[in-house]
Amino acid sequence: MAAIIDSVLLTLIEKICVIVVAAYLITRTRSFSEILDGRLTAKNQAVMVLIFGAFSVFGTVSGVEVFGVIANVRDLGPVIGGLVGGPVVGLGASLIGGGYRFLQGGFTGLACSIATILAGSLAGLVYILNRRRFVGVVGAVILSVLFESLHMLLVLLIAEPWQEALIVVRGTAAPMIASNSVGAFIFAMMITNLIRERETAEERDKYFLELEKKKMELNIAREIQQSFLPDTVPQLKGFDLAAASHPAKEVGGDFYDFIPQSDGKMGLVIADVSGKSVPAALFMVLSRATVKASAAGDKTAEEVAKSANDLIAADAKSGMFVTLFYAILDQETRTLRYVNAGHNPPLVLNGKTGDLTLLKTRGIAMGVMEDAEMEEREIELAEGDVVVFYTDGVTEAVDDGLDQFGAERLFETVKKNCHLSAADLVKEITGAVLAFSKGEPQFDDITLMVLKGGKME
Amino acid sequence: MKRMEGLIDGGCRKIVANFSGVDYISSSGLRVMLASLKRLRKAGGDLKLARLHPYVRETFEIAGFTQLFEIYDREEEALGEFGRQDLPSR
Repeated sequence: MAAIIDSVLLTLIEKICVIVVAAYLITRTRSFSEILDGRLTAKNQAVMVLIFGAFSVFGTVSGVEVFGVIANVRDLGPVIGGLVGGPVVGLGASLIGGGYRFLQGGFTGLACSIATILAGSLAGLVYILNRRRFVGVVGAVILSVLFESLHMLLVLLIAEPWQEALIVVRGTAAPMIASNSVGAFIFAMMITNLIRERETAEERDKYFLELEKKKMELNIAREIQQSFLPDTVPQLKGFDLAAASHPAKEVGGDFYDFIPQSDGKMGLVIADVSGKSVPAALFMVLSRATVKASAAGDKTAEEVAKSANDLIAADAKSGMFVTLFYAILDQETRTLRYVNAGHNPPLVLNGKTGDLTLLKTRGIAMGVMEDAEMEEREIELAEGDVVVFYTDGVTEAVDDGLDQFGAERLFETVKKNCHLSAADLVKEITGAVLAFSKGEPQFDDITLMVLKGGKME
Repeated sequence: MKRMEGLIDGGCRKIVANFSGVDYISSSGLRVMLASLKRLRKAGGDLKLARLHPYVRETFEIAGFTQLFEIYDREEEALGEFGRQDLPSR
């Protein structure tokens, strides 16, 4: 007796290998994937009914005969179908499997087919109760054991004669419960793995998509910023002018501009917009256009700054602001009249004495508040005097130890190289900043403008 | 930034920001403070700053923000200022 049960178990385990392959193939079908995503379309359900129904029939056919009764995995297909695809799939597949079993006849025929249909339907119900999700490995195995026990109970209750049914149940109960729950275990493992795999893939795709989007945004921001910087530097009488901007990886919205005025005057702008990337680039475009428009007509630096500030403040949302230095250079009188709206004070190196002055005035970053006071001041520029306008990307450039380039290093670099032309001085300072940061990714744009007093004409 | 927003969303109207643990503030940081200040003042509240590191204070100064924010050497002073303002309304 024990030997017979063992051989039955062994044969059933052999069948399990077939189940593994079947489970693999079934779980890789498109309909199965879509069912896992909750897309229970008529087509997907029909495909699953057919597949799990066929699998149920296979379970019957591949069964092992014990005392004239077939121990089998007929219930496995409908149960898994129901647990994954709901009542329609569970019931449909079990009707196919159970119907086929009924046609096979035998004194347990009716009981066995009813048991299969009941198992498939109950599995579908579990799916609904579990909020339309797969119950997981443990759940599937426990349910399999319960369904097979129910199966055995039904055979005892329905099959006649009762004594023969008892013999059948005694012989097949253990192998059937074991094989069906092992089968359920295999299916459930594959299904949960598949679900996890899909979730990971989804997360990964989302991450890559975000990364792509970010990259694209950075490129757009850089293009906006670069396309709104002047292409050329104007030629001045008795002055040498140069400027350059190195956008950071995450564009910061720095800009500079030259606004020609009448009577040999030239408006000079350097500015740093708060924020990063596309919002900063767009705010830069707005600020630049506003300053340009405000500078039209022969206005003083103070008037330009006040009108630009009022316009920007009216538009600035969520605390956006721009620190901006505006100066009007008079090439005839060699004076620079300037307004500092919260910008890093440009430094002036006296060509004769080597003294440094910072161009500070009482002002506030533009966009912060309307009707802000903007104090205007004036300096005279002699031959050899150097004015260095810069943004905080220069002084706040960091090295690998997160030390900042700082104002002191900037002063030293300017002092040491004050004999150079404006263009070379811009290159020299930029080079010094980049050498200092040794390829560390910079947080902010590095923007410089140098104005140097030349020979009086 | 999220924390400031969270505080204001949660109904905080009078905030003292103690900067003793901050030795650097970027322009993005200034923006957060400015946006918070604007929101709070609009809602009848205020944001006061205390214990600014010299370098941080300089950053606020350069941007002209010292005209905008009330800045105190000690947190208690800022809190006391809020308390004093509250008295008449009690």
